[in-house]
Amino acid sequence: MTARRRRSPQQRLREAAVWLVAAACVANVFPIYWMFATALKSEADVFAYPPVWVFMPTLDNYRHIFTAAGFFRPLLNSLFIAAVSTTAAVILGTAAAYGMARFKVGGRFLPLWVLSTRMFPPIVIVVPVFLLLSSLHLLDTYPGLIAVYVTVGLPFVIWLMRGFFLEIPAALEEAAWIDGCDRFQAMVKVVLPLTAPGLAVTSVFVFISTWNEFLLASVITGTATKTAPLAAAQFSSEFGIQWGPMMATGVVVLAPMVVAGLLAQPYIVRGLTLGAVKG
Amino acid sequence: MPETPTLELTSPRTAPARRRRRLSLDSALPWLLVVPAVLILLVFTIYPIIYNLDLSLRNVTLYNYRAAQQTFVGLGKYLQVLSDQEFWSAVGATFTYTIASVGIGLVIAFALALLFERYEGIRARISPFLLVPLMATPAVIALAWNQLLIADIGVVNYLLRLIGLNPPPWLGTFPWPLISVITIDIWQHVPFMFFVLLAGLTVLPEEPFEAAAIDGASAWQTFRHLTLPLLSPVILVTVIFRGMTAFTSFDVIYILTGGAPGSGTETLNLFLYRKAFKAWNFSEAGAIAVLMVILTGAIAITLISLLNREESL
Repeated sequence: MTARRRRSPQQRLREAAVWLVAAACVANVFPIYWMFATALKSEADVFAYPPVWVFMPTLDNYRHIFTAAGFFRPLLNSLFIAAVSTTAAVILGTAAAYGMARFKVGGRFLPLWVLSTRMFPPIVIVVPVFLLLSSLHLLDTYPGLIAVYVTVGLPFVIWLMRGFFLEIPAALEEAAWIDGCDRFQAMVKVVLPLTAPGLAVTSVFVFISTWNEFLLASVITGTATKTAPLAAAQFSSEFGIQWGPMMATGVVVLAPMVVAGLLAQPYIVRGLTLGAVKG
Repeated sequence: MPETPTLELTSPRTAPARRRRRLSLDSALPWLLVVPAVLILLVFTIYPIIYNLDLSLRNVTLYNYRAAQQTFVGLGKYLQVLSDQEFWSAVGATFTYTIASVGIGLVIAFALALLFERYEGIRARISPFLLVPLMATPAVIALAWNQLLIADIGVVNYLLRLIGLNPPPWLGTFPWPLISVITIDIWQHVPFMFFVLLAGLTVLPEEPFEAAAIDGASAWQTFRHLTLPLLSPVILVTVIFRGMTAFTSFDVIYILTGGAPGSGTETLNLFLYRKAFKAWNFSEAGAIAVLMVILTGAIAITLISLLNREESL
């Protein structure tokens, strides 16, 4: 007690800070940890009260979701849809970003317009997109969902890549042109290799946001193209509430995102603020 | 489309023999690069907004949307929406949710960022953990929290009972469901605000702070008169981006409460969704969408002019 009282205010502040940070970190990971733990519990342990903290891990829940519950299809759907739409959005968006950054196509207005399309809540496009895809017979098809996801990813790619391109001195391309490259060659051979890290990070971000998307998928997919987050959320309605298998699907959906997030960590601030804060 | 793009740079020099043949493709390249992306954006963003406008002036439901003619109702749908009590409670829920989420999140994230900035050692070790909720699939977040919040055997209630508190109906009656979804939203997005604010803090110039220390300014004075004003552009960016994600939140609320009546969680997003895909009234949904576009536009313009004023200072 006396030792505590003798501490300087600075020390006490520091101690409080450490506790606060520790509490924040525990609060931060606990829900994810608990999901991970539940996925490894037997049914008896899942429904035990008080909750069990130490238990015999089992892979039954994972076995169940991939065999009886048919979680394999939605998982493959998600992988395919996210991979194709990310690739398409990155190619189209990078091209557009280069045009806007180097040749000032559309002047100041076009980039701002692109940014503004990202500001509207996605819900406002849901009904028109649903009716449009329905009239084209593209509901519950891969091309339908991929087209929509490419659109959602495009403004992000354009803004981020435009920022990366603007950082590369134009003199580099001018030198390439003088050496006999045409514009296309200069772009592919000189500029793109320099923006490779930016391109990689942009792709990771688009992949994450496509993989995580729920609202549009819930409206325009059906049994054939249902994505993994949707299947995970529907687990409760189809099987009653089976927390074990449900948490196992959650872990499977989440794991690739956590890995991707760690890969993109150095650029996280820049990516999340579309380059507004460099970090 | 004009044939001659505005060029900032000199044209590339090509071999004279090939010049005539290649020049056209080469000079069209800037447009070829930009046009596909812009076309796609037009089809899936501008067209839907116009489509909403068209929908909102007619009477389109699931049962007649394939038919050629639906009755033109003028501004009838808007009057119907604007005189609907449920619309206004959705507006209220949206603003409560957004303001509480952004406001409380900002305070927590700011406190953590200041601490991390001060004690550099903990930063590198802890940052990876903070990333996890940020990247996590919102639908999965909802499931994870759902399990934590189960009334009888959930961990949260277990811990509350352990310290002698009576657990509230987290997903039951107002205002608890609203408090729950706001808490989850804050939980998921504090790391975002934290990372951005920390990035802003680490690049602040050191000289003013040294001068303040020499002049004997207190910690609070330094914070109030140096940190806050210097950081205000970054704070504004944080608030705008976070405000956008909070305003558009759908997944977690939809999965946890479904915006159930009496839960106080039916935000505009869920209200529109219910009108479109449960009541199947596309025209009413269209009118709500147009109103939301106007609302978001007005908020965006206000924020952007704030940002501009900030920059001119």
